[in-house]
Amino acid sequence: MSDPANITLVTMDGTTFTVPSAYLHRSKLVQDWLRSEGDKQAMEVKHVTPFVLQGVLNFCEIHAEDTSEPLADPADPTKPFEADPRDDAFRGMPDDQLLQFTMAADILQIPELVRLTAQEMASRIDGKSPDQIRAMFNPDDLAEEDVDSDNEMGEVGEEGAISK
Amino acid sequence: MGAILSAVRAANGTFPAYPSKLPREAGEFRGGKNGAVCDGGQGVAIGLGSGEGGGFASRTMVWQEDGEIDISDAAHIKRDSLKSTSSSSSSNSSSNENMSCIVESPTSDAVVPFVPNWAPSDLDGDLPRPSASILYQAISFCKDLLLQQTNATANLQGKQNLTMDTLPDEVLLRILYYLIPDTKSFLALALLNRRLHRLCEEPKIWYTTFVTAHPRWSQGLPYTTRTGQLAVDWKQLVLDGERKRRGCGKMRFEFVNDDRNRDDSLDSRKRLQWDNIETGLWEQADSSSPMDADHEYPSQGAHLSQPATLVSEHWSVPPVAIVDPPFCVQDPLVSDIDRITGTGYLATGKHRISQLRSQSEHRFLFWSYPNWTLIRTFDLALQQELCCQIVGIQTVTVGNERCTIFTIAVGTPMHAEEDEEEDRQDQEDRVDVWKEIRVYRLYEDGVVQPLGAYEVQEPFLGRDVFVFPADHETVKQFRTNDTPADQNQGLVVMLTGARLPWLRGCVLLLGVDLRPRDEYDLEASSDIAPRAGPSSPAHAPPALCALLIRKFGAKLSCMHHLRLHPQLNHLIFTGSYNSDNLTLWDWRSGSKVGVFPGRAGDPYVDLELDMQDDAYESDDEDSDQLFPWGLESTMILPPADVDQGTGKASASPVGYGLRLIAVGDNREDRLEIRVWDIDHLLTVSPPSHPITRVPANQLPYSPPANKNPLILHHSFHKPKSPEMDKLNPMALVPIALADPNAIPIPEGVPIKYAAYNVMSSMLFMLTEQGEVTVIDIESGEIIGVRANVAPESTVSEWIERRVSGIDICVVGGREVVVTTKQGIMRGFGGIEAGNGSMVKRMFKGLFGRR
Repeated sequence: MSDPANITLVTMDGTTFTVPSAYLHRSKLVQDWLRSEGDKQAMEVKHVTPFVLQGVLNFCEIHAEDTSEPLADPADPTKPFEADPRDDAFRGMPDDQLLQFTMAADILQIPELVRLTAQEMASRIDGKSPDQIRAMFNPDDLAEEDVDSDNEMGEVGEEGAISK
Repeated sequence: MGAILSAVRAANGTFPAYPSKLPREAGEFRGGKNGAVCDGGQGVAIGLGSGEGGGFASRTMVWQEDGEIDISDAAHIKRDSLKSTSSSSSSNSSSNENMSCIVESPTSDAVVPFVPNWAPSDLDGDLPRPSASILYQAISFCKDLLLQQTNATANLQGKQNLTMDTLPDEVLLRILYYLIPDTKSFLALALLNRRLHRLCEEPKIWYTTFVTAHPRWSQGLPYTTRTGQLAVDWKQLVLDGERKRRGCGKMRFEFVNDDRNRDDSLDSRKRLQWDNIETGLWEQADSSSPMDADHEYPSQGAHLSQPATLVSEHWSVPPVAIVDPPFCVQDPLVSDIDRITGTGYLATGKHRISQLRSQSEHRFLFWSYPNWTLIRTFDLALQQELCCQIVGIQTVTVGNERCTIFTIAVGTPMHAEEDEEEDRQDQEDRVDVWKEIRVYRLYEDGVVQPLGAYEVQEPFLGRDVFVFPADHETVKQFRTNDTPADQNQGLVVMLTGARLPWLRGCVLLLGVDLRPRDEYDLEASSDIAPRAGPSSPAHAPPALCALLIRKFGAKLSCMHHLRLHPQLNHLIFTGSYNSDNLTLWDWRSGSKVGVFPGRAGDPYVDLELDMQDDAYESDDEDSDQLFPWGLESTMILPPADVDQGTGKASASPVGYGLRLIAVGDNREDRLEIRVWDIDHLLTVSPPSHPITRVPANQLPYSPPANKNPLILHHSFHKPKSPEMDKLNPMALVPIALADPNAIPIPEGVPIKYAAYNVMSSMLFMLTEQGEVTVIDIESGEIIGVRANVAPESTVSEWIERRVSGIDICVVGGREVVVTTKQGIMRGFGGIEAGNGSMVKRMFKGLFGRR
């Protein structure tokens, strides 16, 4: 059993990170895991690379001593908030890393980080053309499972042709 | 032996800077682009390049064994700077011969050593850690940087191969929420793939977009109905509003087809007569006229049919050189558009004084909507001193029959004292004082049937006409029991206006019986007969009887009958010259049922309890006082309240955004726009007994005491010129002092308007000179100014370069139509499509003229 004061996380390549539990008190995933029964040796975060997890942990440490109430999950996305200058570094990362951080934030269920990364993605999408968005975040082309029965593509056609 | 654990140079500064409390404590480490860490056995050194501003300023921190932290500016930290002692901290140290910890500059190509399997736990034991968490963070951070530089890391990242679609719906939706209110981005994302398209259709996003863009205008607007159905197609509402807003900036106006080519071809018309009594001129389809082309009279549409009693007779034009002036429009455009189908009728009237025949001649034009096909014209001739105008058209259901009723008011203009002679001539065909009301039924095939006429006894400034079916809950009490049972399938026509001289509000109810189509009542009174022709009491439709005459209030500056909701048809709002507040009346009893504060603050401070008794004595009108000259109600959401699930009209439109909009000015240099949220009216149960002398805040329709329904108030003022300031020292006092929120109106933007109307959240205002100003109701921003609505290239020689504005309408909630003396002009420019809020006719009432 690991030290309850620390939590060990294992990334997709087996890299381990041991951090104080206090860092992750805003992670709903970790908190649920801590409350669950069973072995608490290490928590696997399979879909996160060490690099990204490290960044997430950095974020958690920055905000570990924040006195504000943890955001509800999901937090109200329309509620205005002020950007925290301590998070500036996260806003400067490349598009592909931003996607990874966004995914990791969602996996670990850290509302504050989800809000940060989602807002950063939105700011990059804002005002962009479909081609520019595609170049940034490489969304998939049409997938079969996305086809809805109500012929939504027909509705799109009313607004403009879909460019692939 | 001390060993350097690692040294690192981050790749081109792309990794996130080290945002832990390490920089905070060191006070220097921010935005580092390079980093290095080394373990000297008795301490750990970390180097970070700040790299801010494109420069490179290295800082190093060295944790000594005793816990001290040294900070230096050295760009290179040699092993010697640390105390080199034996250490067991790393089993891998032997594999690394490089004993330096190097902080590289961004341009350096130096190869850095790498210890891939080192872990923070290796430091357990004898390595002093002044701050375990900082130490851990520092080292693991640098390790991560190292990993990023390795092929192994590259492979790991490659395996992730993340795209935007990897993110779950919840996250993508959150991103969409942060894009609000940038609807262009929604549409761009929707074009990328089906999944994003589906997410971009999420109604809640569009609802949030709407309320974010209109926080006060949309106050209290629910997302769904009480039955859980969407209150409206929110996406369509938002996009429609944006389309209209974009379109209003580039709107162009064009004349609609009317009969202007026929003005001098009177001999092609035939008079409608009952025996020898002229009651109107019947416009016949005539292939010789360009107006009779197929597109004007579609074969499947309404066409003209000649009643059996019609006698054909040509005008006899005297052979004199006098030429009558062309017909000019003076009436507002009246409309009868079905809320659900968006189809119906439009009508207006054109007039002239014929010197040839010494009479006033009037032509009423009817178009079908939305195709704007001129379906018929209808002519009247009156004594030269009298004029007439069409004041309403409305379709009501009586029994199982739909009846389209139009009403014509015969009367005279009322000139204000300050009117110039030229103005008086321009207004000679106005009908301000109603002396007679004529009620007609318009059949779908174009046949017009007179239903009756009523002669108004007292001076009556007419404002509005509304038609109830006789069994309507609001008026059925006035159809007395002595009404023959076979005539109960009739109508009640309500006239609203004000009595002179005190401008008392007045409502008249007229009982109108429907008659068989082929029955032209030739045996009734003569009121319907034109005064110009021979009159015979024995051959005219019946005189109408007044069921009710009710008076209320005094010194009214404007009034507005709530027509949109049947349960509110008994209510009339009035504005006053005596008060900023609006008063709501139940016209059935003539009692005051609500008071709405006209200013911000405590809604019931200084509200008069009852103005009926003392208002007559109050004549202290301040010339600088603003008073509302126009009231209009509108619903933010389309009134086609059909639940998508049931397909039936929803039981209650409560919460659909019923708003009351008032425009007022001081007729000089100040203008104000106020908006009230009056949604709560729909929740009030009408009182069973007349209300007498109740405090304002206890009136049944008054807003709740803790809520001020005045949700928007925009005040504009025209800045005084320096020359005027010199002439009038008092002008040096800025008007803004009187109203700190007053917005100086830009030069070239008018401040005196004659009519306004609302489309979406935009206010269209028209001056008598044909200028149009568009204002965003939410923000008060002036989003469009048109110097004159006249088309740039005139289509006919007689059309002037500038047109004179009479009225501005929003037809069907989606089309701006300007009535000018020269004709009806439709607005084009990106606002034709869509489904906006339904707004009915509005024009400046005479009351504003005092």
